[in-house]
Amino acid sequence: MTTIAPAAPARRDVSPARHWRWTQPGLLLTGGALVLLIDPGPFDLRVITLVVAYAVAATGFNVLVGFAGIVSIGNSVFLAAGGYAWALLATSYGPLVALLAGVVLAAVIAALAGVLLLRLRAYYFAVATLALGTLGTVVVRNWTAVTNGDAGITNVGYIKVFGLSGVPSIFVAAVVLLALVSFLQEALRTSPVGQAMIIGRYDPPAAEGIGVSVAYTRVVAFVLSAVTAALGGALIAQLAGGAFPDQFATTSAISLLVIPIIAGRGWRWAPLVGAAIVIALPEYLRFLAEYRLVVYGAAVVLVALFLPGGVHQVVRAVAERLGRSRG
Amino acid sequence: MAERRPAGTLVGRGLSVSFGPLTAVDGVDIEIGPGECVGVIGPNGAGKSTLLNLLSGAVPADRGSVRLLRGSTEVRLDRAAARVRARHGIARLFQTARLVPDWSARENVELGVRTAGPAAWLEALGLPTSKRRAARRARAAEEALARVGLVERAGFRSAELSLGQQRLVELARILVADARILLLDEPFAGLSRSAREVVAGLVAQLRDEGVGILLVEHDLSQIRKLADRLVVMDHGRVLAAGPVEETLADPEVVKRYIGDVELEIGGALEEPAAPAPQPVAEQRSGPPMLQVRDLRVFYGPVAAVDGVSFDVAAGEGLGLVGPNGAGKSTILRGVAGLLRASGDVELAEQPLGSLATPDRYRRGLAFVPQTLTAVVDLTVEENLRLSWLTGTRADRFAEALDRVGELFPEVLDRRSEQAGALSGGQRQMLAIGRALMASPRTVLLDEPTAGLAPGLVPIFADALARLRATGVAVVVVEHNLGLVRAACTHVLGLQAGRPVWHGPTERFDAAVAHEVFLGAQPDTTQEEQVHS
Repeated sequence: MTTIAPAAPARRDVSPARHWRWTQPGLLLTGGALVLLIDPGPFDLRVITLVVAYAVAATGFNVLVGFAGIVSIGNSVFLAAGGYAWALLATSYGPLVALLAGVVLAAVIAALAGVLLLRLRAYYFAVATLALGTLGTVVVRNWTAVTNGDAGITNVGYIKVFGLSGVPSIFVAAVVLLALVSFLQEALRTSPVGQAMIIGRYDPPAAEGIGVSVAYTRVVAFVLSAVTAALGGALIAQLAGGAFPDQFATTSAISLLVIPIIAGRGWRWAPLVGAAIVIALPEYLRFLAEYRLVVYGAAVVLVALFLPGGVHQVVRAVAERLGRSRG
Repeated sequence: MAERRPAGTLVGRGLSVSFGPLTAVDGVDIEIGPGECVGVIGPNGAGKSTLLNLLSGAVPADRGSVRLLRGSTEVRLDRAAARVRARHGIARLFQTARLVPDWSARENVELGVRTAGPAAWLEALGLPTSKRRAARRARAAEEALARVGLVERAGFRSAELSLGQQRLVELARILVADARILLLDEPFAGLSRSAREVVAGLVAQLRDEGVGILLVEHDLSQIRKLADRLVVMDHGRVLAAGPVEETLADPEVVKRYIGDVELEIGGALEEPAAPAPQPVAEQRSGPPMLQVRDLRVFYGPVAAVDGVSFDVAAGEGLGLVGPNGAGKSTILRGVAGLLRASGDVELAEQPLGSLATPDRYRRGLAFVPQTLTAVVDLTVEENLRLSWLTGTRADRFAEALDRVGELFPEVLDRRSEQAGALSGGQRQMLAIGRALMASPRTVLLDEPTAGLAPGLVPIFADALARLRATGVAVVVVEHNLGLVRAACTHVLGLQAGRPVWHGPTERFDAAVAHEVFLGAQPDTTQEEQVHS
């Protein structure tokens, strides 16, 4: 314990720096413009849009898992809230109302569930959220008066931006939303609220000792994960042309969970990188036919085994190597 | 009762708490006024840390009241959670530094800056004004770091700082929080002399600025220097309280707590060295049990220890001493294979260099780390059995258990109790006992008496001497020179990762100790750069 510090003069400011906040949104918007310029085929653009939609949804989850250190397996219910709110309201009340309604609905559910469930210890909370997600599916399937049951709601329209139409329009909207939530994610991380979340995960007694309410930060993180999930859910519904129960089943909650973990919890690029792996990879493995999921599963297990820090670990190692060869 | 105490006084009355059958704190009254330092001493298990937890709110009291006086009014805090008390300006320093290891020192300090709810949220939204607020926070953090002499290290990851520096960072976090009442749990434990001076200076300064301080500490020299009043606890009760010297002179206190071991604390090097118990064989019989040649131990690419060589024969004891950051614990970890090391390490003439840690343990090496590792949910005997099962099983369980019982009968008496119910000293005994269950031939110990009451030091010294008498070679890292002198045959003094003195214990006198701890540093960058 007494000799942790190296004797040699250590480097300055090695800790995760405060990135310039506009870098990431700027890169995202530029990247989005490039994709439109290259103009991939309809299939590829659809896949890329789905990746961005899941990245939006997973940004809040990245905050939940990476900052507050909580695992939820029920966030599909928030995807469904966003998706169904869009399906029900977009055509009659316009996109802004539909998006906001989904966000508010998801936030209210998350706040109530969070206050009730977050007093449970880690594993029990995860199990309870699984129940929450399942409950959401049950409600969506059976509340036919509103959700139209298993048949789902079709003809839900999509958001039209910059005079575009079809999938490119949804793509641009998704990229803009991702840029926005990425900016907020980074602003949150360096703000007192985000820092309170991080110390609350790392050391709850110490956090309480400096005046942080760990329970409060956890509920806040859970609500934030619901908010971006609702945004992502609305995008997913638009891309699919409707809201269906299967879209928002437990599988999607697991995807949300795997995305930040496989890419590196709390890393600011984790939502996009993780979504690319979790959403796009299975699509491009279709040539493997039935073996697709086997290969995908093996890839995920390998990452879990050898890269506990996710893709971020590789990125950091490479950056360090580069930094050393330069310096 | 007329309350004529000054505003800002923290008053605890009749505080009690029990954990199961154990009453940890039993009806304690305590008062901490502004600008006053109240020292709390007592043997391990006396309830000092628990009392601190009751005042900070980390543990809710079963009975009693906690109030913060505010002029004519008062704030009742009995039911208030720790975070509420923290917002009332009651800050605590944990015994081990509690920092986010990936964050820089500055970021860790910034956590202490209180930001009101709405302002914090504006910043979380990334609004333009947040930049100014963040800059102000960073500046406050840097100023606080400057006060603890760590401003050059503001950008370093806190995990890269030494233990002493981490504690200073935590103190800086308390500084920016503008705490009015400071609860310190052994702030000097495990610190080098220079770091101790910085911490002591800071505590004195805060006290003079009007902060009320509760100082739980074993080191009586610090208590004498800093405390205005002293509270002596024993078995959860206040044994004596009053002015420091008077209370220390209280015959009851002397009898129950200090006895004549106070000499052990500073090492009392002016006294002639007590003859160290000699090894079983007077001359070195046969080859060394543990032989280390040109050991270099690395943290990443950095060699934290360089050019260390020593032999320890069966029945001998080697004490590794030196200021914080000298590389003492690092040597042990290098020998145990827990850190990358180069050079030769041989155990009973078998090279260990290429072996993984568990294989080294299988060859007869044992390592007792400074952090206590017992499984708290298991009983003492189950803990020992677990270690026996995972060890060589060279001896039968009963034999191994007897060996532990001979050294630490106190632990075996509680064999059917949960390990979590043991006191700090007993847990340390259990930790050593666990290492012995594997029938090792060489035992490495990292600060066995860190954080223990001085009264326990002779018990551990005696146990180590008896362990050596059974033919086991012992290497011990220790700050308490009393223990080293009583339990070791040889001493290796280190500075900044390099050996500076090596010889038999009898020759390790005051002059040598002065040289090792305060002498000119070898020409390498020093790890502890704390300025007062």
